[in-house]
Amino acid sequence: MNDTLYIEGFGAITQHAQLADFPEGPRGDLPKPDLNLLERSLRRGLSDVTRLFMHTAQLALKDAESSAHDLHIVFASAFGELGTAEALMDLAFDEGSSSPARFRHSVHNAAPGLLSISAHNTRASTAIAAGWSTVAMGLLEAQALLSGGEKRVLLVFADESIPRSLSDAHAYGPVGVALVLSQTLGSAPPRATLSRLQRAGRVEQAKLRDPFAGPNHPLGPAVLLAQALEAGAGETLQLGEGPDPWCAELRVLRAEPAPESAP
Amino acid sequence: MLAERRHIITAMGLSNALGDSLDAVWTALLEGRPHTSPPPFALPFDTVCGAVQEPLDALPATDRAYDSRLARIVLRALPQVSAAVARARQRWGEGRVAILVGTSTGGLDATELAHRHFRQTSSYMPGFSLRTSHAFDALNVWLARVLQLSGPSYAVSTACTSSAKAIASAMRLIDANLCDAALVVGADALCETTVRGFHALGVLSKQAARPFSSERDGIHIGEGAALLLLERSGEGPAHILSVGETSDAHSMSAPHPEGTGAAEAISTALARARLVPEQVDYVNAHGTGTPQNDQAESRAIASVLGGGVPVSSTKGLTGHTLGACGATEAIFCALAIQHGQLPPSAGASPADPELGVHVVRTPTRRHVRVALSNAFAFGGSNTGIILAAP
Repeated sequence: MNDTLYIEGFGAITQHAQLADFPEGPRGDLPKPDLNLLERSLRRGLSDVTRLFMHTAQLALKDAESSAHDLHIVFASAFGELGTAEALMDLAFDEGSSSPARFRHSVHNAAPGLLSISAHNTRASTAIAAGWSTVAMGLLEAQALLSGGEKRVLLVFADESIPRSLSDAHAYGPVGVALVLSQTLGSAPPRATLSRLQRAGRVEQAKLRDPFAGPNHPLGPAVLLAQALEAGAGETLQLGEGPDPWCAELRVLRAEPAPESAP
Repeated sequence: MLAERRHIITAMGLSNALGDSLDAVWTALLEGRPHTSPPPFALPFDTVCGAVQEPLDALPATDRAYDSRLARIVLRALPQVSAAVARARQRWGEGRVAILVGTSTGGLDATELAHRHFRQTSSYMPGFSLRTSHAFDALNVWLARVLQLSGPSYAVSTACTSSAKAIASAMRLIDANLCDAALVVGADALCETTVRGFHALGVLSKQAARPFSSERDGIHIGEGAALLLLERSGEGPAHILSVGETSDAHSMSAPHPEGTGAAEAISTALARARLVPEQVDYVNAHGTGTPQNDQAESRAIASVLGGGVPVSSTKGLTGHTLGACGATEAIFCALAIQHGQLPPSAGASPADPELGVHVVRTPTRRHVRVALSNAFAFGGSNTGIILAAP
């Protein structure tokens, strides 16, 4: 089995002025997400997590010179549409009612569903969750898809802030990171390769950057991956949690500035 | 020639409104009598639910952090597969057995209680944790701990195709040699948010759903857990040949009226299984019982398989178990293969003559070599699973 993934493009968004400032640097307002991937008629009533998804997907697709029309979409998020769930519960408890529009957008696969409609993409998409191992499992799902014959996968990690009414244990900000992945070389050289996605085993974890430092963000590993891509620095990345976490080796082939959204 | 056999169903377990064992559920399916009850919470409108039988046992004290109605339903079905999972762990190694959970709402039933508590008291409900009670993958973490598994583990949540797509992911992981076996769990529990949401969409019936009937008027919501152990090799009542997956790219909640995405999912599944349409002996339809859905699905089935293949929907009996339905109905297909009998489509009479499919209305003896199980979902997600006799 070919276990090497080519990273053709990436995009990231956090509340930090620079990606490198994550996680400990000062947090500001999130830049206004770019929703140009979506038809105007589909942009109303979007949740924060769907906005993060669309913004980073747009950046990654632009970086990979790819379109959203003909690739497999994977959305990986620890908690997904939590704000929408809270809003629906409030409606039920306050008014004894619900909202058809919000309910349609409450499913974990809302963002890939909306993108498939806007991009007229009839290929399959999926939405997964694995807590603090979401990044590792998203990459594993992508690897399995590509090894099964898919040409390209758009893998988007996004989580919004947790509503205070549901937990005060996770005081982290919104994060989105998107990757365009393949296993075959295209016309343009890939930015990087990611290989040996496996349990850490004999890797000396003490030498790895802790992706959950500071606010313990479940998508911390995705931001560290984006930071390494931006810095052009290859490294072994810890992608999940636990005593024997999932890890992978990143090798950067093309160091270029991170893509930026259209003004 | 059939596709290579490498996804054997070596164990199955069920808990839903029809019962808490394969035998009990299969007997109830053949009886064709809906098991409905009033919703377990107050609602300002009339409907019925397909609830599991109460009382549900709480998780053991050591696992109390993972306790929710959802986990309790899974706990009820777990003993039906736990010995086989232990054998698989022994055979392949704990790191080579994956856990794929398919759920639409995760532990939202517990979150509703916690949110109500917070609104009333401004304090967090004791024992509730977003990570272990609410999260889609809370079942993964609990099951990995209970079953001592350390292979790939994640939840797939794509509304009503969740567990069908969890089966697809499990097959991919086996094919990519990322594991040798996978426990697939389809599970969803009744909660207010979903029942109210479907009512707001105007698709909820006041009675048991009547798929494919000319008098059908909507769905009724059910709950349940369906567990399948898939192994690269072994013995079992059936094996899964393929899953076809597509997107409608049409609407967030309505099917494409011509069923084109659904038809493509069925065609893809057939092609991957290296089968021709005539080889399909039975279709367990998604068959929700809404006028739109049954019409679109019938068009899809007829366009790919023709109008002669026997079709039934079991949702009139179980209720629509949302994220659990894909795995639940895949097991129903395996049971149809095993028993050589087709479960009826409860409430289908009088049949809708406009649909153009052959709806099974009474239990029917038939040698089933190949069966198709459909599931469709919000976001335009379509799946067709093909199962075959050993």
